[in-house]
Amino acid sequence: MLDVEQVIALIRAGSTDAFTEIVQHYQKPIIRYLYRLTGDYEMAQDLAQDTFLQAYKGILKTRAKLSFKAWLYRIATNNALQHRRRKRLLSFIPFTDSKKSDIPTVENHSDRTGERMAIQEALLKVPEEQKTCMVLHFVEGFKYREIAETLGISEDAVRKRVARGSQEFRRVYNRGGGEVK
Amino acid sequence: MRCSDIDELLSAYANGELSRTQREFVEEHLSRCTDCRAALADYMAVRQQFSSLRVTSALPDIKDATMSRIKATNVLRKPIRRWTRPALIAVPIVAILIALLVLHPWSTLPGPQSVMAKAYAATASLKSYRMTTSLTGTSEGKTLEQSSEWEFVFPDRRHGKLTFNSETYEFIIIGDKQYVREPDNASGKMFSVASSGFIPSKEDTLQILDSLTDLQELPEEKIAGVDSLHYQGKVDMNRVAEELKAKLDPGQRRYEERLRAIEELRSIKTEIELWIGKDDYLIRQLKQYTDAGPKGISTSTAKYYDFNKVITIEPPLDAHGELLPEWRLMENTPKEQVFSRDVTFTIRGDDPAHQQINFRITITNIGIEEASNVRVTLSTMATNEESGSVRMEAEPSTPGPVNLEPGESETYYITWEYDASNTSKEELVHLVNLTTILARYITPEREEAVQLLFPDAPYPSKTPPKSPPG
Repeated sequence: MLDVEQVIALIRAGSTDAFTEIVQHYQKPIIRYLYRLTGDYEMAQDLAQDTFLQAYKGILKTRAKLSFKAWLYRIATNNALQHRRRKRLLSFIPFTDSKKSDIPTVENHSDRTGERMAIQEALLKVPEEQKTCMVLHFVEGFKYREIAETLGISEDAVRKRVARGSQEFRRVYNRGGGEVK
Repeated sequence: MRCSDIDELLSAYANGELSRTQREFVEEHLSRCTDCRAALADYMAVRQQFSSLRVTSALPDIKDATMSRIKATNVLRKPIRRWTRPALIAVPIVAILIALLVLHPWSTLPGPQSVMAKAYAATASLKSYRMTTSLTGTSEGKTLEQSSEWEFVFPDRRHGKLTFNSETYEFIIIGDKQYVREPDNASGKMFSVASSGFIPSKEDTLQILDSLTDLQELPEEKIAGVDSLHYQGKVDMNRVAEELKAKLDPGQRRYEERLRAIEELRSIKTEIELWIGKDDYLIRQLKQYTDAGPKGISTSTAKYYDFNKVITIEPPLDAHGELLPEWRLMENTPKEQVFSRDVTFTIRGDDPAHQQINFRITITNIGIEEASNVRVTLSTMATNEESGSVRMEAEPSTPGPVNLEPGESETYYITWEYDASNTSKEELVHLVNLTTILARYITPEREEAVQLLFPDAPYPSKTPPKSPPG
């Protein structure tokens, strides 16, 4: 069980290593979240590291108006949103870790089924706002209330975005077919 | 056709996100409407499809890489320099002379040993006292006048008023907390003054007293009705310079400048006159004559009184513990914010397709060191860009690189257009509130630093009001 308050107290007392527990606990869901948002496996890892680094820098200034989880996911969400712009500006991203070159991108990712790939590809075409809410809800298991807290929007807005996003997703997935009323 | 009113609720129903009342409402409708039952099936299918996305192939362990990055970044703040050390650069020469004035009466003057030893002992055991100082001088053609009043309750309470250039600043210091009240039109000088150690402390002045030479005894005088022994002496500025140099940190920015300022001290001639109470050996008065050649001359007088009287120094707070008007707490250790900020935005435009979003960001350096090349960047979701967010840089009101000394401010502006045809005004405001504003700058140690300006806490504040129901 991760006790965030305890970790914060330890960091405040000077123990950087205490933050490892947070990385340990959240790395897989955060990487997965970022991967589903961006469709880019390597980028998801980079963004995840960025997210944790930013979280570390900010963690001592906590005034706890959000839960830690919501706050962490908010940072991740912002990073995902910004990455596309970065991608346009950078024509080449140097690999600092040779292992990275072995990691597949979504195109040749060894997903068990082509179905998953198709879903992911359709998802990437859904507008950002809606996509974010859908991934948080369907993939990360956030309740609408949690999504609202994380993104700083109302629950009504979350509900709308999930509904419209779902419709959009179906439309794209069915390749322009399917009924949209 | 889907029943449009209910469609959104269907999605939420499929996701188990409705309240009981809403659920019953939807179920009642579903019992009558085949179209909506079909729509519901679609939503359930989406749910089903997405659940498969929870699975991914083995996700890598980024713990080691992340922790290395974290440790490599110098994220923990450096220890903050105690700002009782004089910042010689920030302060004109004449003001340094004020520091010489602000003495604690326990001195280790050489000379008539027995008297001085008694004076030292007497003042060391003081629990409280008051003092006033006044200085007049000319420096580079300008006449300067400064005065101050202080009261001390040991070990760690001070309360004083400092007046110069017709502006009065008031301080209350209790332990680590420093409160200040500035005049309305304060130019921000306060930070330089504060950081240059003008708030009296004995450590700063002891070394100067140590440097007295050529002590002579003069005829006794009465000061405030008290018979006083009377001495005169010169300050050995070479010795003062040496001692200040020894304390200078070569790693500090502007080391050479500070060194030069210290060297210039050597040419200053300073004479001190001291009156010590004959019966109790408490210092009653101290006068100082300083001749800094072309840089100016000054005369200053400090008077000491109310020894061991009951003096009450309390923080400037009201009955609820709130700061009284005009008072502010100076954050000094450990500092988390270099800048205070004032952020406002407006959304204007008659045409929803061409809404102008304008941000005005004023930042003030509330730190103790200069921040160079200060830039303000925004990352906002209030954008029509495909990516959903965009990063921009705001422009300072004065073009060119911005360097902010402690106390200085700068205002930055940025405007951009947003097509709000498909967005409600309220949603637009939500989006604009999702803007992150950062101040990027270079520290005196030549490191890049970033401070979050908006939202005002790393845990962003709660959302604006909910949209209307339905």
